[in-house]
Amino acid sequence: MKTKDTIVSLASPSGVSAVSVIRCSGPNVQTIIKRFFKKDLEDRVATYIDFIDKKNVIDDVIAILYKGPRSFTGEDMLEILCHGGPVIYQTIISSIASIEEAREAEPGEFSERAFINGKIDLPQAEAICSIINSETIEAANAARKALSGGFSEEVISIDKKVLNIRVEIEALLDFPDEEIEHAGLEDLDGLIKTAIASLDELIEKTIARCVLSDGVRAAILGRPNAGKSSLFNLLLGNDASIVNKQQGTTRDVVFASLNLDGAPIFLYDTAGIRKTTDPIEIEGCRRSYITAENADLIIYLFDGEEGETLEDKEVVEKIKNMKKPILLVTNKIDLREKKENQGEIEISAKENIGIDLLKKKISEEIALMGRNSSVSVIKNRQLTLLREAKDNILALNISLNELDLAAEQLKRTQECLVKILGEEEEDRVLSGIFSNFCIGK
Amino acid sequence: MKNYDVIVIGGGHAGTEACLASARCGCKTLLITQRFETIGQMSCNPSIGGIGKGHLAKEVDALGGAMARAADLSGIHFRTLNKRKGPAVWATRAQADRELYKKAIQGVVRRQKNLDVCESEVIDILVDKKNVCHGVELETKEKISSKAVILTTGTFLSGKIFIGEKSFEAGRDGDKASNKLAKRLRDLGLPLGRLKTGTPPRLDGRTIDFSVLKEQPGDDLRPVFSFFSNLKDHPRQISCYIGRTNNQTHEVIRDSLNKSPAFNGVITGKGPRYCPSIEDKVTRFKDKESHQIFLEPEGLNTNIVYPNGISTSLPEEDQERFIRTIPGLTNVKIEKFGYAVEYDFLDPRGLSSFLENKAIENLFLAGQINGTTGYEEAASQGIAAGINAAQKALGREMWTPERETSYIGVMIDDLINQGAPEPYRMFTSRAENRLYLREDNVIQRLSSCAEKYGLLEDNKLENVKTYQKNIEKELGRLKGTKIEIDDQIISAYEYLRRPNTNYEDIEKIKNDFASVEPQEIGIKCAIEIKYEGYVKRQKQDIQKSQRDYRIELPEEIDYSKITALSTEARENLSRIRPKTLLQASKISGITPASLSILKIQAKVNKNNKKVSEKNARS
Repeated sequence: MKTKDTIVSLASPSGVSAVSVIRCSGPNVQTIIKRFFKKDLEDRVATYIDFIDKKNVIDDVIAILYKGPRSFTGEDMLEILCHGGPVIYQTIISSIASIEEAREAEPGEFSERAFINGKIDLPQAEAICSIINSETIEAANAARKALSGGFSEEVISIDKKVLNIRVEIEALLDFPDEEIEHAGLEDLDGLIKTAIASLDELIEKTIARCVLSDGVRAAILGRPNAGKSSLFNLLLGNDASIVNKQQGTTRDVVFASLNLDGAPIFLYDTAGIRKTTDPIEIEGCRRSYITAENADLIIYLFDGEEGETLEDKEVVEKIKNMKKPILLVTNKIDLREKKENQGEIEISAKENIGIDLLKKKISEEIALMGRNSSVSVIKNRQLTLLREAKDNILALNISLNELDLAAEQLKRTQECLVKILGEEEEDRVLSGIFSNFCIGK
Repeated sequence: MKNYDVIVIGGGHAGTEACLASARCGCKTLLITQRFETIGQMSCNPSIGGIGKGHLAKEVDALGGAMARAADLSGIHFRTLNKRKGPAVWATRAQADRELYKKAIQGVVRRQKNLDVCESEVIDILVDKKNVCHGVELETKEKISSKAVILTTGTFLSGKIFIGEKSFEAGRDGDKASNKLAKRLRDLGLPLGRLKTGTPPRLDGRTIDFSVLKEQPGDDLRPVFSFFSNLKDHPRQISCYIGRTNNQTHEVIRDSLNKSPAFNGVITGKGPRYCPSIEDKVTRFKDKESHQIFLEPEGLNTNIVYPNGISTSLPEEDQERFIRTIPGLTNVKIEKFGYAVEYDFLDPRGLSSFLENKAIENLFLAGQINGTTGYEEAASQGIAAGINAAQKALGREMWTPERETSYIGVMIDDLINQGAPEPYRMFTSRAENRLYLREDNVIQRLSSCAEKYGLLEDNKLENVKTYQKNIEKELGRLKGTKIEIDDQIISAYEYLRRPNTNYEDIEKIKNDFASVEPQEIGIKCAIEIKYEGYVKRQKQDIQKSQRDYRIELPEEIDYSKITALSTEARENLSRIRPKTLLQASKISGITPASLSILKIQAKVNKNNKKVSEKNARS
């Protein structure tokens, strides 16, 4: 069986590293070489060369061509070693995937091709079945987490909006004799505009997240003066954030990247949360919560000197509702008089006590998130699908005599959203009609 | 022993189309029904067509079936539903005179060559040790052999009727139930399920005060059902009327709910969500103060009126009480009370796409026995089963109606893959390809199939071919006609692509353009042009999504051993054993992730085979 398209993806772990490896496989590898490099590559020779897209040098890279069948997949393959970091590898992958003959690979596809071409033996191939399954699910979960801040929830909410519009329209089409108390066409137009606006917003957010986030985002939260900035600096090992004893110093969110056991982390220092009437501080608190929403991991810091307050309880309750990993940490144990346990980890940022344990806990949480190299691929796929959804809904025109065409555009919109979410409930348009309208002539 | 190519059991809408199709294919065919008199009987509401259903009836017509033509000969009230919406969802509906409809169908059956009718009851299906069906046994103990048998027994299998707290065994409308056959099917190990449906009381029109009801006349621009009919075939036209329930009605119904078998737990079968009883409507939509009732006359020479929208199984006295609260019906006389009926059906997931039973060869099933509801759904399965049983008997390749080209295909594909969790009725939203599956292009969609199986008589086939040539010719003319609009010169074809344009306007824009005769051809061309882009895109999408779907799943796959699949997926795959990835994708419990597993598994099995063949050679 011959594959017709050429696939591309990142082969090294995602995130910041010294070098990133990008792999292409398929019949059009030569087209890619001609398109992005100024000269041909020799078989199995590493060449130092510029990767050029639309006359811009994206990066100077090492490129190696493996002519099929002497390659991992058995097809023509190209490996590009570029400078590490999401921006560079993402740009290169997108450039390659943008040509007609190529696309981003699905999880497990390289192995699959290797098997089809007889490069992997039977026992290995049979193992792929289970791996691909778990890979797909894990990667999808991971991608959702990576795009957290309620990404799934946001897609689900748009999906529901679209479904509601479809239910109205399909009911009008399939049950014309029923006196369905449907929204008027103008109302539907309004609903469609709202759906478009939500899609727009989500697309923008997703772009922002994709660029920023090939690393785990960890946010430090706590009341003012709990020692968040001290901890932030201690973890970073330099003075990225001002540490000041006056309450409410870090009004804006400050972030920096660090590397923990090889895993890239974006660490966010936030404004202290407390009840206040100061508009600037209120804004600071709001931003702190948004940062928490967008984070993959929340580190909540108690002030060991003062003990757990009512405010602490409220805030912890609130962030627990965000349903993401939380580490509860008590700071200033050196100043603590009473022995009471608020957090699971006890530290003193000032005296550098318990920091190694905290780092270990953070690493464990990251490991639990099961991130892998498929994440960024899937994220890009999700972004593409969101855009496709938007194109489809934008193309529709709500008028009675073309209601069937509007229904078609909405169906396409929904298909894109369903692809992101993975599974569609069967029969839900009809179910929606039957539960919302009294049908039955 | 008597001997036929094909035997059809049951003379309802599925059975008649099945035996007619089989006979037209050239097979010696026998129809066995309890009473000839009931052939063509409309046992529920006296109408043909509607959304999705009009499409089905027209597809049956394009395949040479009898239903649409009979609707024209008996229709007393015609409408095109959705006329103000897009042409893809235009749907023809006709109110029929029951007697005229029956007469029309019975006439076709009588005239059909190669077809015998026998009034009897079948008590057994003859199946040999290899699970091949080879005939039937009648109640007289007479055995008749055949190469194929089509079972279309509707709701006759262990049918049970409920009115209030009374219940009794019965088939349709007072006919007897076929219990022996039901028992035999159970003994053969075919999986049976139970469904329910209901029917409203029938009213004496002489006791209705129509003056307080809203009149609903048929369309001025009256549609014709069959491609082979014209307006002159229609009998005299009359109006329908619309009445409304009120709070008082609902109160009466609520008070007697505990006597409704569907509510006190006596009936366990699942009823259709789209056709709830009035008890259901009142309970589920408490806020609604009034429900519509369509009062549909059952014919020109009868006083019976069918009140569509109030199917009920309340006790007789309560039916009378609630109906008489409705303005216009305050003195109404009930001719026959409404009832709920519970019946057995055979899980259609046990069928192939040819409607042949997977466990018993040469046994075909069609109609309500497969869990569907509606005359049109029954008729279209009937015609498919008839064509295929005939092909089987003739030793030729059978026909799989495709989802992409017909509603018949959509329905059969849904049934064999998803089963019938509730009585299955057609809706246009079930079709992915709705913009192509239109009433106006039904001839283009199905004529090649009709021709291939010889379903149309010579003169009809001639008509169809001339018509298609005319369409092609007109499309060509529109491409060549230049018109000036908004200072631009474009072809009439391009003009018709634009939104809110229509064929009739071309004459106004261009003086020397004359509409084609008949103008209907031009209007159909305009619709064709309008949808062309969308249809093309749908086709591409389907092809794209089917690239992988064409992958065949080898027979020898042991699904129970693929642990990466969910238990539900494993069970369903083992039972249904899909032939391709496409079929697998439609099975419940199959996620995109499980499809990629199946894809790999298919390749693994293929490679396994190669390796073992290689080893065997060396």
